[in-house]
Amino acid sequence: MNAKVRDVMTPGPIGVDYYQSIGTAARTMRDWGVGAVLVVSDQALYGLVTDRDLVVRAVAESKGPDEPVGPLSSRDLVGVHADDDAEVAMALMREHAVRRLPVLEDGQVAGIVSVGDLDPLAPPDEL
Amino acid sequence: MTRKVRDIMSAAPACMAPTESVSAAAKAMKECGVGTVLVVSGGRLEGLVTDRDITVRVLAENRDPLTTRLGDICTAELALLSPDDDVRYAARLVRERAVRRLPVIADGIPVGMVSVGDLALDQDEFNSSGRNRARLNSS
Repeated sequence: MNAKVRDVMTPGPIGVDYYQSIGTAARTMRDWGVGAVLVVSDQALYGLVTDRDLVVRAVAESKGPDEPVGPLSSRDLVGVHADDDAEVAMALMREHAVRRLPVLEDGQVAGIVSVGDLDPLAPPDEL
Repeated sequence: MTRKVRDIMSAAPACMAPTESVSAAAKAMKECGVGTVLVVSGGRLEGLVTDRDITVRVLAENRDPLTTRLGDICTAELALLSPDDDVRYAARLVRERAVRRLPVIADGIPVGMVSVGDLALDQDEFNSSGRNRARLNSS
């Protein structure tokens, strides 16, 4: 199997604005069935926030759902190209101990690939 | 190849009472570096709560993490593993029950946890060490 990242990624990156609320980010994750959303500031990629980030960086710190989601973001993102082999994405995730990578194409973010996308054991509805 | 659940499981997650708050569970997840707490009442496993559950069932619903109790949001129908179960059985449960985390129970006591990530990395290590991917996938 030589699947490319583009074949397994979640395309059309799902994003929230830096100043949108933590609650809005949570509803976006719920409604799209995803575990992470990209955070955009001034129309540029600012970072990425996961469902876990909302829990450990907001709920555990007594931040309410009305506060902006932007400050919870992870920055210094490791990206992968849409044309890379899926194995490259898996190797990057292991090397950097992350579960999701933004997918880049033509200098733009084309989607997100997660460890579940790469994992043949993952539940079918999440593939 | 008969790898056992005990070979790949993570440590048992925190156990909390169903009356504890979501906020307390979030703090435990942060401090212990885990994504799950087991909800235990009177020594009996009643359910589990994941970080994802807190996002979807509390934050997305505008519920207050300080007053929402774990018993109100936990997943009660659990698929359970024993440490002696075969890893392939764990993988099958993950597929069939569409769950991502499975508690490992020995003599009624939670002793560990297996996640989809544990299974994926285990399989990835098999593959990179030259074992036969087709045989693994056909199990």
